[in-house]
Amino acid sequence: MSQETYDSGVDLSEAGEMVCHKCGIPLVIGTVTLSYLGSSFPVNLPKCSRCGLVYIPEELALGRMLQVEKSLEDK
Amino acid sequence: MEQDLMRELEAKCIQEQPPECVAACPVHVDARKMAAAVAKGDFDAALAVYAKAVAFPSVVSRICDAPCQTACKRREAGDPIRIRNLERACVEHGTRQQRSVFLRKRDKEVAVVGGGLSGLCAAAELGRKGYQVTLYEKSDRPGGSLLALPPEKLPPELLETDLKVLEPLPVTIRLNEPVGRGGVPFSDITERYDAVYVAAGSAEGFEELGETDETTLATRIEKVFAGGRMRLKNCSPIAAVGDGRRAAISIDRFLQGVSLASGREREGAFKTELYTDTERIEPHAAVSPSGPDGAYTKEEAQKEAQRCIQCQCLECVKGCAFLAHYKSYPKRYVREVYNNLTIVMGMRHGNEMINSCSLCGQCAAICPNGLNMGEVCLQARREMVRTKKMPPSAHDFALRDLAHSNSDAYFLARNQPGHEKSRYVFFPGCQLGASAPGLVKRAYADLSSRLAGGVGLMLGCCGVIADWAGRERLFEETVEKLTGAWASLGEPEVIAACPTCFTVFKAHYPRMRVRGIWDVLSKTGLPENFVDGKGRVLAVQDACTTRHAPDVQDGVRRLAEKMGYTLEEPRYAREITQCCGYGGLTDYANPNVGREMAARCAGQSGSDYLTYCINCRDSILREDSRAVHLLELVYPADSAKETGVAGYSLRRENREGLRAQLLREIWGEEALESGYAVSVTLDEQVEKDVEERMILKEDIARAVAAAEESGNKILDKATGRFVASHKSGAVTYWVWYTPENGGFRVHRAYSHRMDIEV
Repeated sequence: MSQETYDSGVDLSEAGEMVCHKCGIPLVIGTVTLSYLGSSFPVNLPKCSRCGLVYIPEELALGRMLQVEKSLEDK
Repeated sequence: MEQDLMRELEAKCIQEQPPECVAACPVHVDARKMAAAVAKGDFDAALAVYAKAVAFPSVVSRICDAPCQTACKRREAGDPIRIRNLERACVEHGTRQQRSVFLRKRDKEVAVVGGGLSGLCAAAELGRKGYQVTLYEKSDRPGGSLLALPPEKLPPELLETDLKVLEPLPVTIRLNEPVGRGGVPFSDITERYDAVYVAAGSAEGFEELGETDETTLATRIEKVFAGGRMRLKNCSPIAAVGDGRRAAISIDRFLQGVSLASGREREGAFKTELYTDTERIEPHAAVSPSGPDGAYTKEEAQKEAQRCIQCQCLECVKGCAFLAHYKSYPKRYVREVYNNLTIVMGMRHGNEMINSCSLCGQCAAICPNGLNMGEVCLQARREMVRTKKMPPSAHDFALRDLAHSNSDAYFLARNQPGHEKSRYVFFPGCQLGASAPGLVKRAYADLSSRLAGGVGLMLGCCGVIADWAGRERLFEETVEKLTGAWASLGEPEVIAACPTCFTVFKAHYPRMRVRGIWDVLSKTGLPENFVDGKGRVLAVQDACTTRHAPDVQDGVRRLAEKMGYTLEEPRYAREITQCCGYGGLTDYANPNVGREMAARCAGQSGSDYLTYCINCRDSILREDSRAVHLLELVYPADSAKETGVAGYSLRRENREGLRAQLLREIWGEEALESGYAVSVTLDEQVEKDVEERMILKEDIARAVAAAEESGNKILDKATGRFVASHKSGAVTYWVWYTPENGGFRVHRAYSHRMDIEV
């Protein structure tokens, strides 16, 4: 059953340009769970289909993720 | 925070108290609001404000004795505002909005005896409340003593105009019907009506009523109230209006069966607690009316109203960037803090505000009632920490800085070589060592060579960072750690170089004897190579932590003057000095507010600044103003290299380097300088980013090293750069880099606190 994921708000179309150095294969969009202070959110992000290495883009870390962190801290 | 405490604190803030003009008026005409409307040329709105308090504005604006004008604060800077002339201008230039009369009809009947100003006002007020009012007037016209006024003072048509307000009300006027002697027997009136207001102009014939109660206007007869000129000793028209209003309120309360007297202390004229500073208001004379008998043209009225200073306090807000930032004032802030602490479900919107205060106490020093938002915010932070509601990100970086200062990277406690114990110990503090390590070395070399009995050295943080973060336990632990180290040196007298350490030691280290280095230098004399000021003018930026230590402020000034500097005192100095943004960890929790505070400090004077707190110096330098720390003048550097502001990473390197150098040069010990996991060079933009994002080179180097070692890295084919991430503490760091000359060049660095679950 597919779980509903949150919109990362970030353009992930260039995920294929990112390559997992260890496995030598391009990252693909997959579901990653981000969590903070007891809340978790499934999000679609580039990751290595073999070893699971995840890539978090800068605009996500400083945008949506920061917002969510702040509001969870104020909850 | 308990509710009682919150209310007590709220009450200290007088910003919401009425201005002098409003308080002095028996019916509290909001002259401030009215003047604001006139100043904008909105005479309709201004008239509405006036008519809300005064039922007969045309008449009263001509004859009012205007106690508001005597009280007006503008008198302290020019003439008082001519409020009565403005009221008249409202009547003449404004259009009266027909009050949408929505009457709640009441079946109770009230008699008013006497058709003078007071009786008419009472009738109007009672009519507006829906009571059936019958007004008995002995003559053939309502108006009483108003009718005796010369027509140039009160043109008769004005009374006619004003009386029209009674038309839609359930008010019946019975002319030629005297009450009492020779007319309707007073007993008939009291029998027939549910309540009576006697405003007959003279007490003659109403002796049976006895003295009236000042607050309620109640008489000896239960349902009878009396007021107006028959009670008032003066002929104040506005007092007569006030009595009419007061009687109407009493009668309403009486008929509703509620307490007559409770909560009416501030109904008439009273003394307000509002404080308004007029010292900096430019004096302006009143605008003279060009029309006959004080009639203003629209333009004149507008000009006169623009002179109104719109009395308010806000003294603390004027002095503090933090209080100004949230666009309100302490009374509201106290309530926000309380709500934030007591909220059960929902967002704690006050967190950021609570953590943005510098806790410096400037507001309390300025406030006429001593309200201390710093204390409120500090208590709130402690409570948030205790209840685990403190946002983890707020003080994380600052607390890591404290940990660094009190770890082996910086912490040190040594006797002077050749001494078993110390008579003195020099304590430069955590930020002076980070900003100006060379200064610390030179100061220690000087003190240890000139003071007898052994001058030990202690490097570390006094614990104020924990205190400011609301971490009571951590603060206690820090005090314990430092006290132990100090005791091991033989309990020497502490020579503090940082005014904050000085204050913290005095307040929280009961066993320590503490002096400031400024004091030691004053008494021992200056070293030979100090920088002679030769009359150079410097504006003093007092450290906010010493606002209640005039001896420190004096000591610093004395020393600077001894060195030949001419000192300038900015507006906010000494007891009311402003925080530079470092205090209370504002710079960490809310860098924007921190910068606003720094900008205020830097904007106080056109001269260069003299500081004695290194954070003040750095904050002012960051604003591109010039500032020099007192000790830079006492112990000048050989080169100008030290004057820049060190970023977060360099600050740590400086501390570590200082400790290692001192150990090597003074104690002959090899100390390992920790260095980074790998060598990293940051792109220019990244240098700026990491300061804003509070990312240390140390964390960047660790991320790169971990990726290089494990091979867990991502290659961006488009740029050929590697991407690494590393979690340290609660934070995950991301670094874009390329190998370069045996080290690594960093193109991007960012972080987040959310965890990535595998």
